[in-house]
Amino acid sequence: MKFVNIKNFNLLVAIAAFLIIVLPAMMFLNFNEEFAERKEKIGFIILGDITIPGWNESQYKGIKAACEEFGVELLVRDKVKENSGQCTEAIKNLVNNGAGMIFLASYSYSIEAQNIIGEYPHVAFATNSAEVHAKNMTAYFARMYQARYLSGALAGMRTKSNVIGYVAAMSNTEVNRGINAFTLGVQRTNPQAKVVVMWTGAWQDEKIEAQHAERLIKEAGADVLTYHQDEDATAQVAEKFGADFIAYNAILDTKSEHYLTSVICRWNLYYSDMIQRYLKGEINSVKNHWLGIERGAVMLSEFSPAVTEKMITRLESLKQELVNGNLIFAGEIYDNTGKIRCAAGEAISDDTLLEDINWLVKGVEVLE
Amino acid sequence: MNEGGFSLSKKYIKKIILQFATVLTILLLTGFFMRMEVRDLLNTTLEKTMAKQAADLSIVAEERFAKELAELRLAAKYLELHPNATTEENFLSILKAGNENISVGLLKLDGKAIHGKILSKWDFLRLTSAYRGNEVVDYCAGKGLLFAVPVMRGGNVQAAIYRLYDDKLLTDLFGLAEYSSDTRLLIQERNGQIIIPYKDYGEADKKFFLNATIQHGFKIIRDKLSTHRSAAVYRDSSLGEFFLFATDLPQTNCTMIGFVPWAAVAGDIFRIYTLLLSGGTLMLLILALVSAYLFVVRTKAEESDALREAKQAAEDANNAKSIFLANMSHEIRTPINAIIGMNEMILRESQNPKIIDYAQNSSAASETLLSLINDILDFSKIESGKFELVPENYKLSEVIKNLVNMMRPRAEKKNLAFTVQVNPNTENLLFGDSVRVRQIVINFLSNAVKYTRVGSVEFIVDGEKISDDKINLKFTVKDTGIGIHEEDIPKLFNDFERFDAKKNKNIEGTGLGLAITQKLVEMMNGKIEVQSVYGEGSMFTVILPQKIVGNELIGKIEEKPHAAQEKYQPSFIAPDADILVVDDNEMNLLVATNLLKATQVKVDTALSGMSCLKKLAERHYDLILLDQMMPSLDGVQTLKMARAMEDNLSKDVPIIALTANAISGTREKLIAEGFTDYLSKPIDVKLMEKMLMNYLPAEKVLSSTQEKISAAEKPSEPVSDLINVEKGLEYSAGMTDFYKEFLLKFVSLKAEKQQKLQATFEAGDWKNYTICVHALKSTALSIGGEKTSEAAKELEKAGKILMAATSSELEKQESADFINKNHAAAMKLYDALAAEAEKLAETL
Repeated sequence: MKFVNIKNFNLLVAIAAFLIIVLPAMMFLNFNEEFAERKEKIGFIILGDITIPGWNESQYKGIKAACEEFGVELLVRDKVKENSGQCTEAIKNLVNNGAGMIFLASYSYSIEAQNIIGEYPHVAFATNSAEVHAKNMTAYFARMYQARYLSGALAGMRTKSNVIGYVAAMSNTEVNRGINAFTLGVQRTNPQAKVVVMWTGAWQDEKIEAQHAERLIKEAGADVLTYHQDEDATAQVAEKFGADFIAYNAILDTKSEHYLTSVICRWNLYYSDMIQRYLKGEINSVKNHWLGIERGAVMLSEFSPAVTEKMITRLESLKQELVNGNLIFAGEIYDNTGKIRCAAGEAISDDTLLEDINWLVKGVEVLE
Repeated sequence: MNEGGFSLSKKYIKKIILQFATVLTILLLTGFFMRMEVRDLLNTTLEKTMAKQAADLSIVAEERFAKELAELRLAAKYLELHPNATTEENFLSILKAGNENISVGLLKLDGKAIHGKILSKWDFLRLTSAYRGNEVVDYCAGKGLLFAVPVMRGGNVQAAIYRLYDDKLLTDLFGLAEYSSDTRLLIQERNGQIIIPYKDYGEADKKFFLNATIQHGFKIIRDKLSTHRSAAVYRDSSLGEFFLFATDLPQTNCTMIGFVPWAAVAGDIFRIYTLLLSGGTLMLLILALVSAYLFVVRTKAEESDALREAKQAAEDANNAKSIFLANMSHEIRTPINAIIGMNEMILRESQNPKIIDYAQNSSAASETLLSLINDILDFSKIESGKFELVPENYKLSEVIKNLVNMMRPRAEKKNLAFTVQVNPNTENLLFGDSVRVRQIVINFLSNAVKYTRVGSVEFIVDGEKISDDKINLKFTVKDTGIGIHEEDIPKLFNDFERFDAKKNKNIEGTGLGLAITQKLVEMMNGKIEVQSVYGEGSMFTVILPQKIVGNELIGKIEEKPHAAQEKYQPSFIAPDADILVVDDNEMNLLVATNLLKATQVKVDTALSGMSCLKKLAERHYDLILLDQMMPSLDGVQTLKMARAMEDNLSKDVPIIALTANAISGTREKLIAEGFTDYLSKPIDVKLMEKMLMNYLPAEKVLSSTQEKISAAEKPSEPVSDLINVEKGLEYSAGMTDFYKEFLLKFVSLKAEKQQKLQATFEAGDWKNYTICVHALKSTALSIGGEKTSEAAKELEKAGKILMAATSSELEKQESADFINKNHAAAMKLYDALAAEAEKLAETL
């Protein structure tokens, strides 16, 4: 009996020592875990299939690279249809999964989700349209129009017929801004040239795009084509009819001399900048965030052999102007109805450029 | 056992100390790691806090920027609505607020100034943003902090209005230095190169920022700032411990950086922690100490429990042993009693010398057996601490004679030369336990005889007087026996120890002899010295301090010639006496009855307590011998019932206990129970006769000499003219035994009495002297010492005259002279009488 007691006593001492030493140590470990930074999660919602080249793939690759750069986790919800309610579901799902920042990477998402955004004040939303504003949402975009301007300058130099075709999805601020910048670029190198625009009415509609491209060549006599669509049907038509073309948002897999260049955005750089701002807690302090050519966010891809050295030099100097802070939408600008949109000594503000371009610049014709 | 226990507890203590040290080390290590951990944790936490505070600072800065911008926005709005040049100028001067370090201006988009000075867009890279319609905060080293807002016209920008703060103003303007007295804050460009210092920025601060550790810290911060709004790190540099922190100022190209000494931020918190840790450590230490203490106490308690149990067990075992010994002594003594009794009967009754010889041998063997039992009993008494010495006056010469008489036949039987040397100048009259003295010496002597095969045994007696009344008796026993190995000598006195077991296996004995001897010697404050050469012989010397009680030297010891076994003579006869002997053992009854045959006492027997009580009711007995240990009714119970019995015809007669239980304390116990006296079994005939003589009614006891005059005639032969034996016998009612008793008593008391007499004489205490002389007169006469008695009578007479009130001075003088003259002569007579009486007693 006594012997057992001694044993118990030693056991008690051992347990006490264990409790005294190990428990606090475990508590400390727990503390440390609590103190350890939680890994940030970024949500990403996009319209199409992220494996299909064009807008969707370029966006996805960009944000993926940016997330890898900062070691944050990327949560992707793709093939989320606009105006179907899927977007709000995706947002809820992402928030529940711990996303601290959510990219709405399609133009109409923000309109659709504007009510739910306010319900998550601690989540930073970012969208590529300037249609809706919210305290916790930043409109982000690259100054794509700067590259459009340069590509317009190239088109102006390349056209012989002085007619340049533009297949565009629909008339909204983004598209109009692109058309206007392109046209101002064309006029910079070729004041005689005009730009003929045809609306397709959809971001993706290969058939109509192809039809319109063909009409622009055959009916309008365009010898250089460009487009503002998610995919590259226009480029294929131009190639087919031997017209020069400037692609958009993707580097095409063709060696044709007619493929002059692509207007591209370096989305990884762009997303990297956005995510960094998010991580630094700066994202929601600005309404709009534009990243321009001075940071290398937008650019023209490698030129076709058909583009001469002289042309390239000219484009370089134009690009330098922009980098140095020269504004495209500054000075006297009239729209194609003759109305003055910007007086001498003035500049169109960024806000206007983002939200309120419902006109086309002088020199643009629309082919119905 | 104690030794073992001690080393065991020492081991325990060592173990405890070791455990304690281990626990302490673990605690210290834990404490140390905990401290490190807590410090790291604290620093990490504080880094976060600092980063947050820095972020808050950036918000403060942001708010101030917002305020600036709001003012400018208002101005821009005003200008947009009042495109009038004079108003513009007035308005701008208001914005300037009269401070020469603030400049205000209005710029056209091409960079030309409408008012104020032109700003280079290379200095303020963000200025372009204002032309795009955005509000701008920009900093240029050397130029200052710029705030600019666009002046709109509809959706278009027409100009930019700006306000520029000179560097000098910045510290005051943004009040960053006020944040905390220990904190140093400054603003730098995001590339980290150019520093806008705080107020008293000096060489030491420059050195601080150039310190490699600090620079490394800021590098870490810059890396962190790429993904964080603000950051802070803890650095332990050669300049001290610091928290470094930084935050990017939003919408500008500036970073605010700062540092604060560690102690200013963490000192108090860490002090709290240290306090808690110390408290905790203290508690743990106390816990550990208490645990250790409890452990020790517990261990001790267990040890003492164990000891108590062990002690109890030992005591139990010892009790069991004592009980066993008591039982054994009873069981063994009973048959020995029978053997000795029967031998005695044979010796008394047989006329056949051969049979007498056998009986003598048998008797000797029985005596040996009895002595062995006695050894064991002695040992058990000594062991249990119940052994007591019984000191009395004795004559050394008697003891020596007795010893020699005992040992000589044994030695001679082995053909050993037995020589005795006694220093004649040794004091003879001593006080001590003579029985035990005898026992001690017997032991050495019998060992010497036992272990010597050829040669001699030498017995030397000497005495060394150490004071007037003390003597160191020295008995030396030398033999030419087998001797003892030197290394065995210390073991010699161990219990039950025997050497050369094989060689000595035919030597009888318990092995307790020397152990008992040593214990006895110790009890007498004596000592034993041993010298021995193995194979050549040993010499044992025992020194015993004894008291001297008389003025007598031992002189020459005369050895009595070896007396042949005398025919037994009873010391008395009592034909009219009736006694009852009660014993459960028929053999014992037979022995007792036969032993008493010669005394002619009528012996009745009873086999149990019950039959004893029955017989007591039937008739009267003069004495009862009652065995103490009997089945059902034992002696004590029988005694009590007998004493309480109404119809007991022998109610007040002496009852003497018979007991084989010779353990010490028996006698006292029995007398306390109500026995008159006790007799130890086996019954010693002489002792029993003496007992009967004492306790039987005097009128029934007759001297045996009255019956056997021939036997009495022998001692009546006059030994000298000093003693009239006839007269002496007359005083002893004709009984030689009585007479002998008187003689011996006279002799034994002589030393004391003479001493007293001498003392009173020398002191001139005539009153007591007279009393003493009177006593001498009667005692001397009672043994037949007529001459001495006469001399005493004369002295008494003189003494009486001397003491009488009626005596004249002359008479007194004459008496005193008489005493002085005759005292010595009377004393000589006294001495002679005593010597004579002693001689006579021996012959009786």
